[in-house]
Amino acid sequence: MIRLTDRLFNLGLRAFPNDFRARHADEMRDVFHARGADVSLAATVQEAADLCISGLRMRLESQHAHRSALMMLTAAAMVTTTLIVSDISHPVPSRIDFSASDPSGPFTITIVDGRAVEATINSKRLDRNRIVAGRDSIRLLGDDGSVAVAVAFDADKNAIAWIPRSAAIR
Amino acid sequence: MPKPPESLTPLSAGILFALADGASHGYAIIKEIERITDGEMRPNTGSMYLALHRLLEDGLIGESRGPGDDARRRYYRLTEKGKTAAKAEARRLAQLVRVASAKKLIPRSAI
Repeated sequence: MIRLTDRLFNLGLRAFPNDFRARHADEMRDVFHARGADVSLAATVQEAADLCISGLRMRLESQHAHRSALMMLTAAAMVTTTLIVSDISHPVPSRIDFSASDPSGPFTITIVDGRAVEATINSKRLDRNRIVAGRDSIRLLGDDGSVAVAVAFDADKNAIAWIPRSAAIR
Repeated sequence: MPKPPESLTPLSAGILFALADGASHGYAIIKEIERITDGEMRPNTGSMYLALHRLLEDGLIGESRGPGDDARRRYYRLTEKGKTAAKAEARRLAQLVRVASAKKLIPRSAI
C-alpha cells in the first residue's frame, strides 16, 4: 500500500512535464526519501506544494507547454481579467479575479497590480496574513497554518497556473 | 567581468558553488547547499530540480550517470561556462560584501 506521503509527492510530481518526469521522477523520489521528509506529513505537504509550483513554472517557461497549462486551468477554473479605468491620468491598474473549484472545494484569489489582495477558501474570506505571496507564487494558508492552496503566478504575463487538488489533501 | 546569466538565482548560485568541488548527485547537492549556507537555504526537491533543469539548459552544468554501483543516480558537474559564471557570481557577491562592510551594514568580523 502506498503511503499518503508518497501519494502526495507523486501528485506534486504530476505538475512537471512528462518528458522531465520520465527523466527525473525516480531521482527526485530518491532525494525525497533520503531527506526523510516522508516521516512528516507537514514537510510532505510543503514538498508537494513546491513541486506543484516548480512544475507549473517549468511548464509556463516551456514554449510548448503553454497550451497544456492553459488546458489544466480551463478544465475547472475561470479567470476574469478586468481593467479598471478610474482616472486616465494614472496608470491603469490590472485586476485578476481568479475562481476555481476542485475536489477539495472552491477558492478565489483577487490580484491587483500583481499583488494578491484578497482570497477565499470554501467561500470564507482569509485574513491577509494567510495570503503568502512569493515572487512567482501565491499560497493560501489553512486554519492550521499549513499550505491549503498553491498557485504559480507570472506577474509579467498575468498568468496563473494551478493543479486541481485531490480530496485527500484537504 | 563576465556577466552571470539572468537566470542565476540564489539557488542556482548555491548549486554552482556546491558543485565547485566536483560532480555530485541531487541529494548531496542539497546537503552541501545546506552546509555552505549554515542551513539558511534548504531547497525543496521541486525547486532544486527546476534550478538544475535551467542550469542544464543554460549549459552551466552537465550530467552523467554515477560510477559503478551508483549508476542509477545522475551526477551533475560544472561546465567551463558554469565555472566562469560561478566565479563571476562569487566576485559580485564579494564586492557587495565589501560595500556592505564599508557602509557598516555588517561588522568586519562577519567577513
